[in-house]
Amino acid sequence: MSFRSKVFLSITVTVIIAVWVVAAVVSALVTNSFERRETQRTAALVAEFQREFDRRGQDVARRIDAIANSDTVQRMAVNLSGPQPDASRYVDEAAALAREQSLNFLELVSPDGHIISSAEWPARFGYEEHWLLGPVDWNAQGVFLKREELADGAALGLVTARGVKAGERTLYVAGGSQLDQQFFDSLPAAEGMRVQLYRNFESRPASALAAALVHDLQQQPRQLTRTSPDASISAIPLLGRDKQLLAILLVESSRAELASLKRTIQATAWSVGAAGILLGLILSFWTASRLTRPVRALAGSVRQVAAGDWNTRAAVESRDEIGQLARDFNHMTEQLSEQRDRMIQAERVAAWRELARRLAHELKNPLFPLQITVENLQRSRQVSPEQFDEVFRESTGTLLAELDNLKTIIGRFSDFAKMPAPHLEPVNLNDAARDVVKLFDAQIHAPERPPIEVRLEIEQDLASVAADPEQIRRALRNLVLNALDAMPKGGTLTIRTHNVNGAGGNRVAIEVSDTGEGLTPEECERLFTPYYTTKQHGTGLGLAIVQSVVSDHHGTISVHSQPGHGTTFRIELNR
Amino acid sequence: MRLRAWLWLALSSVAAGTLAAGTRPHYGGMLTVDLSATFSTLEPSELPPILANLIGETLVRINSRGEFEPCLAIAWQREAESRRWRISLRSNVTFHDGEPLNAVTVAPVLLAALKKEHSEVSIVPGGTTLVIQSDNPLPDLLTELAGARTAIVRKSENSPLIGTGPFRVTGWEPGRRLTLAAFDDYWGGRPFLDSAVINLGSTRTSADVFDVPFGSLRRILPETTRIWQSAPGELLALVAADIPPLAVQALALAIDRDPIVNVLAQRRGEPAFGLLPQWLSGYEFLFRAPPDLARARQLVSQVKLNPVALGYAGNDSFARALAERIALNARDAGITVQPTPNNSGSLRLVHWPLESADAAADLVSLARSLGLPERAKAVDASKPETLYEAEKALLDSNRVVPLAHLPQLYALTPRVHFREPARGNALTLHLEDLWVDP
Amino acid sequence: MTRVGFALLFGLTTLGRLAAQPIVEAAAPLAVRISSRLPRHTTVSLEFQALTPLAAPESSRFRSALEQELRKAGLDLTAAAPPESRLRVAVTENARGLLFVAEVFGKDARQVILLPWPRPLPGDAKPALRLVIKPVLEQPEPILDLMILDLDSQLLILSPARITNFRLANGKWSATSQAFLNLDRPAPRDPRGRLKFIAGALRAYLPGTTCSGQLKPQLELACAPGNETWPINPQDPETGVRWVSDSNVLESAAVKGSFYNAAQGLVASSNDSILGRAGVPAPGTESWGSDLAAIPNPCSSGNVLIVSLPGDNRERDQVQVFEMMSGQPVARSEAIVLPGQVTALWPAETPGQATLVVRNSKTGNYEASRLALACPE
Repeated sequence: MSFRSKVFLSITVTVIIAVWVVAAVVSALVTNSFERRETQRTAALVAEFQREFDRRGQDVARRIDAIANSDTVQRMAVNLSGPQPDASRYVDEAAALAREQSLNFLELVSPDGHIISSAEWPARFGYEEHWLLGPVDWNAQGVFLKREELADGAALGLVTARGVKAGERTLYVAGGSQLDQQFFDSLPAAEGMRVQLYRNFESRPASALAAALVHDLQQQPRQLTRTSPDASISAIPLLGRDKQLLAILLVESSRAELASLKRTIQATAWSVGAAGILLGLILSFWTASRLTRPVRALAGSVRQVAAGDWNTRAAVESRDEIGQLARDFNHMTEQLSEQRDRMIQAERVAAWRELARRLAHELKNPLFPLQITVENLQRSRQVSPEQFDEVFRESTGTLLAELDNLKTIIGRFSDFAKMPAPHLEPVNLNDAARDVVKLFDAQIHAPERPPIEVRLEIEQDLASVAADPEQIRRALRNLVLNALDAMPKGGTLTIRTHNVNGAGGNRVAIEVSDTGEGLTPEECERLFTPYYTTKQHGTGLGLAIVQSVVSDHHGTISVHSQPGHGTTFRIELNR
Repeated sequence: MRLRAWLWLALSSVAAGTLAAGTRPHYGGMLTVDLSATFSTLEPSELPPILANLIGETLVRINSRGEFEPCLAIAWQREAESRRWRISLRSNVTFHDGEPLNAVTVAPVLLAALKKEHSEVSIVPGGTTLVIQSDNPLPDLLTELAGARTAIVRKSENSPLIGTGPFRVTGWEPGRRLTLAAFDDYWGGRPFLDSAVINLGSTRTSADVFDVPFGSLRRILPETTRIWQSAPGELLALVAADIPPLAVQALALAIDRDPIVNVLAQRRGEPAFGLLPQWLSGYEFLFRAPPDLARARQLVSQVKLNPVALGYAGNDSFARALAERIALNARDAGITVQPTPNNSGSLRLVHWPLESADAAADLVSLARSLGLPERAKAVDASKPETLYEAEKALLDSNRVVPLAHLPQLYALTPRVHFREPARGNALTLHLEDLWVDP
Repeated sequence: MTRVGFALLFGLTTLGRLAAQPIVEAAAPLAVRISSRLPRHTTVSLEFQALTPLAAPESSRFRSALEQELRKAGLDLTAAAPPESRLRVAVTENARGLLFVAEVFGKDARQVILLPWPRPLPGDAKPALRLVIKPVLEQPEPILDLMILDLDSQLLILSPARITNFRLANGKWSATSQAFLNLDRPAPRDPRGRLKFIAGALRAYLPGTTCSGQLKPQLELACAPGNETWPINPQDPETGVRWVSDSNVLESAAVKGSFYNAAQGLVASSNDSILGRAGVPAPGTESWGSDLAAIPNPCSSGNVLIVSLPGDNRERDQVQVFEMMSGQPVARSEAIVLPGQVTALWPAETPGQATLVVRNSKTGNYEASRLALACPE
């Protein structure tokens, strides 16, 4: 991360944290105030509900009393207290009585708890209503909530019951009014408040918040409040006579105002935050321009030096630490440059010395016989002129052979000096490997030679490479030659080809392995140095030529060896 | 016109003290009758039972024991494996227009009626004898001759219907009013009444006789009115179509018939578990089974059942109350039944009036109505086991659930009296046997 | 002239039905049919119920007979449980008569056996107090009047269209001959008639027709239109009455207005009141019906009146014996409820008896009986 970025980040974080804390505090205070007001309004509404509930209940009780005391019901009670009462003729009575008293529910129930007549569900005559039986003085009971079964579902009723005694038997009159949404819509609700009745036998409310409340109340009926960003819902359980949960009064207060306020706070916080970030950006830029620019400039100089431009100098633009750093940098590059020059010089000298040494070594061998041969000629002319012709023939042959040898040596050096650019064409390395093996076949299988096994592990689908076939064969010959030389007592020569990274790869590899004595790591390092050889004879150019060929083909060559385990040379070429 | 054969009458309330103590009928007077039903033709087969046999009569009648008895025919002989029937007509019978009843006057009327069912039938009249011939056997000819379809009636310019019955038509306003006068020369004895006025489509309670539909059972009637009730001869049932048999069985187990009869029908009638009432078959009690909601629910759990529509006649308040009660009983068993007042649906509430006291003929007719005539093929009224097996087969088809056997109800004002008719054993409310106080 | 008609198919059938068999005789055929459904020596338990009213002795007699017959048929009856099969027998009735229903419960199946049985004649009605009702005959056709002759071995029944002659054989009346009445007018709706022997000749008096004939050597009658007078009461031969044609009422020179019946100076007028000789309603007779007959009081001198009374529900009439004491009727017996409405009540040709015909409201049959009086012990 750049210094500018760090500065920018630290300023930004500071601004954001500060703004956030302030916004959170303000938001919490506002929410708290809002919720207090909500609670007060909800309590007021619930109180109003309770008053209206009581008033409605008294009205229901009065109407039921009127029915119980009516002539019709009194006569019915007397008739039904006889020995073999016929309740069937009263099956339609409840509907008429309910209509008279404007009640939604009315049932006339016989002394044994069977419905004689039902206004809300006429077909239910004969069914049992045993809740009316028991040691309850219905005439002293108030109203209560009850779930009423209807033909097309169920409803919630505010009901009461009365007993009409005739002799030893009691006729029951039970009924009331339906408690539905209309009742709650009539309650005065403040703006933004909504009252809803959930009956505990319906499907869950659509709103997730209300549904969660309903679920909690069903587990344990008690007053609960839940909030969401948009609304706050208070749930008040409405219980029946046996304390069973029959309905839930849901008072919903809209939190739109609060949400709007919070949004305003948030927007303000965002604005301030954005401004802070902008300020941070400006500051960071200014700081960077003061601090990071000279550092970057210095870094650029360092990269140039790393790229090889040792003459790069950093600009010194200040007297502070950055300026001092630039000055020190310049000094360092100067020193490094001088040292590099000195080292190059020394390496050149060492390379020239090595070359001279090798040259001297190579040339010395043919020169000595040359000298001996000329001296023999001189001696023979002086001492044995009669054998001079024969000696002259032998000597001139020797002279010519050695001269050829010299030419060869010089030719090699010349070749190495002016190796031509490769002439690229598609080359199959498998073919090259086979050619090279065939070339050395005679040498490998020479009778005096210790047995050498040749393995050709070639990949059949080897891709072709763009290469100079001659140079490639030359490089391979050199590697094979080195491998054979490394196995004086015999062994296994393995030539391996394969596509690097499979058939989809873009390189091809060829390896030449031997089972000779192997090389030490130091020897591996110096292996490709021209004129470096571990052999007692040879120009030491073989591997250098290989390396040169590989380099000209933009490939890579590597060696892997362990003492006692042979050596493997690996060439990778591009397809 | 269908013959009814009732075994008993029941008078539910008698205004004692307002009746004269005389026990013999009076001749004379006019009777007013209000009927809630209406009809626009005087075809005997279309007339309601109270008017059956008043104007036109059949050759034979079925008595309350289900036996054929003479009416316009006094004797009959079956020959050639029921391919030929020799019918002897009653003598000294005249039509309302004075024309004598004989084979010549009867043959064309009868032939036209019989040809509707038997295209190959022919009738050879001779004096007072008719010979009815057919290429195919006619084993049930007597049943047909007892049916209103074969009543011996004619039309003329002066009268919309001429027959041999105890009353003749003196006025006819289709759909509104039928006026009858006593036929003095009726072979079975002149009716006690001089005349009768039948008002149709009326729900008033001021006539001398008026019918009491079940929907108006709890209607307030004048205090002195008596209710005359026939034997329970009308089957009230549910007919099922396209409903899985297990569901129909569950429905039969879920419906509690006692409240239907005791409350909705005001104890008029009997719970029905068989198609024929106990008084007719004698073995209906074998089919009785109390409601079994647990078993019903178990059966329902074995089928996948959609809500079932229960059709009933929308203008019948009794049918509506009954449909709602059935829906409630079905709900207790886990079956959703939706009453629909349009008389269509997979379930239908039907009334089947029994045609006569001939149990075999009634069962055959019921089987035909259910589309299962083959299940009542071998019934023989003299062999109750064949009736039982056929009825059991019809019930096992799970096409019908009997609910109740209901009577016909008529309200009579105190000035109306009756005694059983002198002829035969028919026990219907015959207007020809009524008389009124002077 | 006389026409002796051949028995009609339905008539013979009707008469044949009169020979009903006691219920206990149903046990044997029922046992045979039950045992045919079970292997021999099957152990069964028997449950019996009467779904139609039967007298307790009759019910238990049948059950005992059934048990006996089942054992004879090779079944073992046991009251111990569990039996191999359960047998449940019920006697019920349908439109045609009685029906015995036997259910044989096996392991999983139930077999049903149905045995129809004719409804037996009503047993001797127990005399209510002193009034003894002895059934004579029952038939579906109206019985207008009857005569028992020849030391109670011959019975003449007057129906609207014929007279039938019966002979007593093996305790049952069997029809031997009949004579059809050549009526000029159809019988009235409430048919009435009177059978009498006048001066050794058999006479039948019907509204609009009078028939005269002989009984021996064979029953022969000739009818002529017209209403001849006849004495309504043996005790009062001077009071001649005659029918009004096409009607069910009588008229007499001695009585003002038409009437249904008359006895002992009282007239059951056609306006449903009982009138005295002066034509004034007789007090105490307001509840009387339209029929009355006077017969000698066997326990003292004088006559008593057997009177029909309308029942509470107009379905079943009653008869009761009254004695006129100082112009006031005094009940001398309990009122006996009859199984239907009275269609004929006449003093019988046998002194001290009256002929009673009742239309059974359940079966529709006309049941003719002889009423007699027994003195208190």
